[in-house]
Amino acid sequence: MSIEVQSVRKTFGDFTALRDVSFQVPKGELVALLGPSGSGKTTLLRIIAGLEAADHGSVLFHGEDATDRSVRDRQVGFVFQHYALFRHMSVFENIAFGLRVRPRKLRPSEQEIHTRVHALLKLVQLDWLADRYPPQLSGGQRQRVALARALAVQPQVLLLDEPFGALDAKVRKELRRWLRRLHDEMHITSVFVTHDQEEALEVADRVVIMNEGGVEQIGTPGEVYDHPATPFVYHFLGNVNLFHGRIHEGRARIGEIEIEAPEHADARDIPAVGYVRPHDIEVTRHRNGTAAIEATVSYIHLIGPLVHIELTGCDSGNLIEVALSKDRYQEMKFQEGERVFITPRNLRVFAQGSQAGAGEGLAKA
Amino acid sequence: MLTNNHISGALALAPLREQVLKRAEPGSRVVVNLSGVQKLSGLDAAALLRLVIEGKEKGIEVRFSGLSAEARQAFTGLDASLLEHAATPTESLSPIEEVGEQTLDLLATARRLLEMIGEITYWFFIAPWHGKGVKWERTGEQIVKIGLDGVPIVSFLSFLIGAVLALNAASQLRQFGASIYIANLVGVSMTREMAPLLTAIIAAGRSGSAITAELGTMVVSEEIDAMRTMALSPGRFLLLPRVLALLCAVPCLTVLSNLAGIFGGYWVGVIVLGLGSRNYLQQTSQALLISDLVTGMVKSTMFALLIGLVSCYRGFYVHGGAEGVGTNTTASVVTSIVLCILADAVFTTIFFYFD
Repeated sequence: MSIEVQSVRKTFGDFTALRDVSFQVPKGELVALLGPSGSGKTTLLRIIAGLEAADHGSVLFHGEDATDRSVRDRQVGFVFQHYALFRHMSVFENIAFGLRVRPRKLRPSEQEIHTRVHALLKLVQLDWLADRYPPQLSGGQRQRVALARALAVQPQVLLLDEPFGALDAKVRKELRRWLRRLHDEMHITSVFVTHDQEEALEVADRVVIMNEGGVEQIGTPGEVYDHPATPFVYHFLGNVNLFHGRIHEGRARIGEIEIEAPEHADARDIPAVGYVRPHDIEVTRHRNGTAAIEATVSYIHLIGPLVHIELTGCDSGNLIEVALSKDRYQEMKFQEGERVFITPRNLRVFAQGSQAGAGEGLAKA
Repeated sequence: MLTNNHISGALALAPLREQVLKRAEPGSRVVVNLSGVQKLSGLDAAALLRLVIEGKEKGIEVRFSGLSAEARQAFTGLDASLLEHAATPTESLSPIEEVGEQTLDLLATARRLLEMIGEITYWFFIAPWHGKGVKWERTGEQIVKIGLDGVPIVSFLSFLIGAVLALNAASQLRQFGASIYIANLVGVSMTREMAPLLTAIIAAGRSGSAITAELGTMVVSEEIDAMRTMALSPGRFLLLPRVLALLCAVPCLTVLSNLAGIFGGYWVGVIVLGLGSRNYLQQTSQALLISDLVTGMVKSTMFALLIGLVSCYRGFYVHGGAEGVGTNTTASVVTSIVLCILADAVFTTIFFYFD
C-alpha cells in the first residue's frame, strides 16, 4: 500500500513541529526519514500512524484519504524506539496479543495463532525464546520481538520509530542489515525514522532529509549523498569544507578558482560559499598549471583506512580537511608544516543567502 | 541546534563559542537554538552575553532563540539591553494573562476528563450492545488486586479505629453511667462515616497510586500507543476494568470495615469495660438503622468512582518520563483523598438536611 503525505502542518503551542511537509512512499519501498533531533520526523511518523492528528494537510493510504481514519482502522504496524513490549506477558503472548483481542468473528483459531506466532518467531530468529519475558531479553532481541509483534496483525504499512536508536553500535549494524533482508523478502511498505545518516543511507531505498520541520531533500541514498540540494544536507551527510567567494553573472570565484554556477545567472557580485567533501580534494606539491588554493599542512591522522590531513588556508586561515587513500599518501609523503596546493574536484556553490541552515549546523555539531 | 538540557559552566559553552567565532563567517548571522535548555546559571548567562559581544566585534550577529522563561531569569542583573538584542522576546505574563492561562489549562483538563468519562461510559453502556463486551476477566484480576489483597489491612485498621472510638467514648460516657451507648456511637459512626472514609483512604493509597503508576509507566514506555496501533482501545482494556473493579471492591471492603470496626468496639466494650457481650450486640442492632448502612454504601460507591477517575486520569496524562510518573502518582493519591473528604462533607450536609 502506498503512502502519501500532503502538506502536513503541526504545531505544539508556539513550536512548529512540521511546516507543510509533503512526500510519497511508493508501494513496497523502504523509506527513511532522516534528520537531527527536533526536526519533526517522529511527529510525522506518528501522524502517518494516526497516533497524532495533523493541524492541516492529509495522509493518503493507497490513494484514499485516511486523515480521519483512527489508528485502529489504518492497519499499521508500529515499532517503537524503546520496544514498548507488554512486560507482564511472555514473548509468545506479546506477539499473539494483537490476534487474541480481535472480535470473535475475525479471530483466528488457537491452533492458527500458535502456528502464526511461531512462524514470526522463526522469521525474527527467536523461536527458542517464546516463553521468556521481555525483561529477560537483550535490547536487540526485544526489538526483534517488537517487530514480530508489529507484523503479527499483518499490517499494510510498517512504521519504525528509531528502531535501533537504543542499541549498541554492533548490534545496530547487524539488525539494520537484517531489516533490509527482511524487507526484501516481505516487500511491505515501510517508513523508518532515524538520526543516523549511515543507517539511513545503508538501509533505505529512498531518504527524506528533514530539518526544522521541513523537507530539505528527497532522493535515493546515492543522490542525496553525491548531490546535496542544500547546505544543510551537505553538513548533515558527512564532513564538508567551506570556501568563501563571490558569484557574479553565473560564475563563482573562490580564490583563484573559477567555476560555472548557471543557477545563479542573474546574481550580481554576491557572497557565496563553496562546499567540498574531504575526499573530493586533490593535494599537490606544485602548482601544475591549474588554479589552486595554497595551504599549509597542519596535522596528519594516520588511523583507519584513509589518511586525514588538516590544512590551513594561506589566505583565509580557514581549516581544510582532506581525506586521502593510504596509497596516495605513501606516494606523496606530506610533512606537517609543508606548503601545498589544493584543487577541489567536486565543488558546489551556494549563495550566502541560502545559508540559513549552515549557522544551525555550526551550533549543532 | 543545541539540544543538551543543561549548559553547564564553560564545559559546554567553550565548544559553542569556538564554533561560532571560528567557523561562522563575518557578516553572517548565527542563531543558537536554546529551546532544549531548561536551566541556566548566572555564569552561563554571562558567557552567552560575552559571546554576543565577541561576535559583534568580529561582525557576526549572534542571536538566541527559544529561551524558556526560567532560563531567562538567569539574565537578571546583567546588561538588559544586550539581552534584548540577544534573545527573541519571550513573553512574561501579566496577572490577567496568568489568570487566562490558568483558566485555559483548567478547561483543557476538564475536557480531557470528560472525554475519559465519556469513553468509559461508552465501553460500559453502549459497546456491549455492539458485541464488544466488558472485559470481565481483566476486571476480575483487578478486583482481586484491589479488593482481596486489601482485606487484611482494611480489617486490621478498622478494628483499631473501632476500638479507639470505643475507648475515647468510654472516658466521656462513663461519667454519666451511660457506657452502654458506646455501642451506638461506634456502630453509627463506623457505618455512616468512618468505614467508607477509611476504606477510601486505604484504596487511594494502595490501589489508586498503583493504577496511576501502572498506567503512567505504560504511557511513558509507549505501551499504550502500541496497543492503539494494534486496534485496541485503552478505554476498554485498561480504564473500564479498573474503574469497575474499584466500584465493586471498595463497597465490599467498606462492609468488611463496618464489621471489623464494630468488632473493635465490641472487644473494648466487653473485654476492657466489661459491658456484657449480649447487651452490647443488642444495643448495636437497635442503634443501627438501614439508612445508616445505605448512607455509608452510597458514600463508599461515590468515593470509589472518584478514586478510579482521578487515578486513571493522572496515569493516562503523564508528562515528562519516569519522573512524571512519580509526581503524578503522588498527585493522584493527594487529589483522591482531598476529593473524597470534600465529597464526604457535601454528602453529610445533604443527608443532614434531607434525612
